[in-house]
Amino acid sequence: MSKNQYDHIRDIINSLPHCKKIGLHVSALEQGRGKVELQPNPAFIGNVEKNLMHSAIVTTLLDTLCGAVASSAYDEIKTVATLDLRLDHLNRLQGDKPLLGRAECFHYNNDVAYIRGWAWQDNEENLVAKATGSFMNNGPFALKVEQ
Amino acid sequence: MKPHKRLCARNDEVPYAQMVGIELLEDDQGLLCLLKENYDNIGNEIIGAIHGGVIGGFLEHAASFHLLDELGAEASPPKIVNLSIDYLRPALHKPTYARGIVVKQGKRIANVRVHAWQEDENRPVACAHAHFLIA
Repeated sequence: MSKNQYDHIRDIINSLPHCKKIGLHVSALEQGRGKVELQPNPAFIGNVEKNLMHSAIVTTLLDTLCGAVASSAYDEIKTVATLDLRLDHLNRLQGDKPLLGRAECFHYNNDVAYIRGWAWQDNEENLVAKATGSFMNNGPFALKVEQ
Repeated sequence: MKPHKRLCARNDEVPYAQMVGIELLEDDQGLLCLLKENYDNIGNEIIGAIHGGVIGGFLEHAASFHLLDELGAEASPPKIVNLSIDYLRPALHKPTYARGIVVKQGKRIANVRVHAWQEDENRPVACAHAHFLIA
């Protein structure tokens, strides 16, 4: 799989309607690992009084990234379906700070890829959430070819 | 179905709920959460499915409001500890509903289960369970 194909998958994910709407940017993707970034936005707030982001935002960030990493876990890009995703919310999400994340595949077989991911604000020691997910392998990803 | 009398206003103050399109309704079984049809929530254009993160967020939001419904609308917002989502079927580009139960409410922690469906409550698209700090 050439480097270009990972970048192509990244472009597809970054241009999905919901990712575009919130400005979610998968910034790096290679076999079995990836990174993501999200700039703060007043529309993400879940607690106005304390100016905290809704925890659904970090769920969306890690779901997207873990799915992207699962697609990229194999020797060739796969279409995957999320079976489950477990999130530990470790710290409050400051409403005015960027949210960053990384994820890695820690095991895969022909049927399922197992991914874990982390999200933080400020620096990687300030973890806000940890995710573990399993993704079913639905076969090779068919790149859309314009005829 | 009509807007939920006690919780609707509180939900409408949440910017995230407004962005994705979550409404709180009330029917004969009590609180019912609605995620409106919204193109901006799409996460898979090939099958036209709602983003898994939006479904997860909707379940979590629904879980916290079902808990608030038990605690009383004046209670401070429960703080999420963790959330476990099972994705059962693709959630297509149509209205999605969620309902939950508070399985256990202790002094500090509550355990809440929720499920989401589209046309048929017997064919859920996703379910989740979550722990919240309520102290």
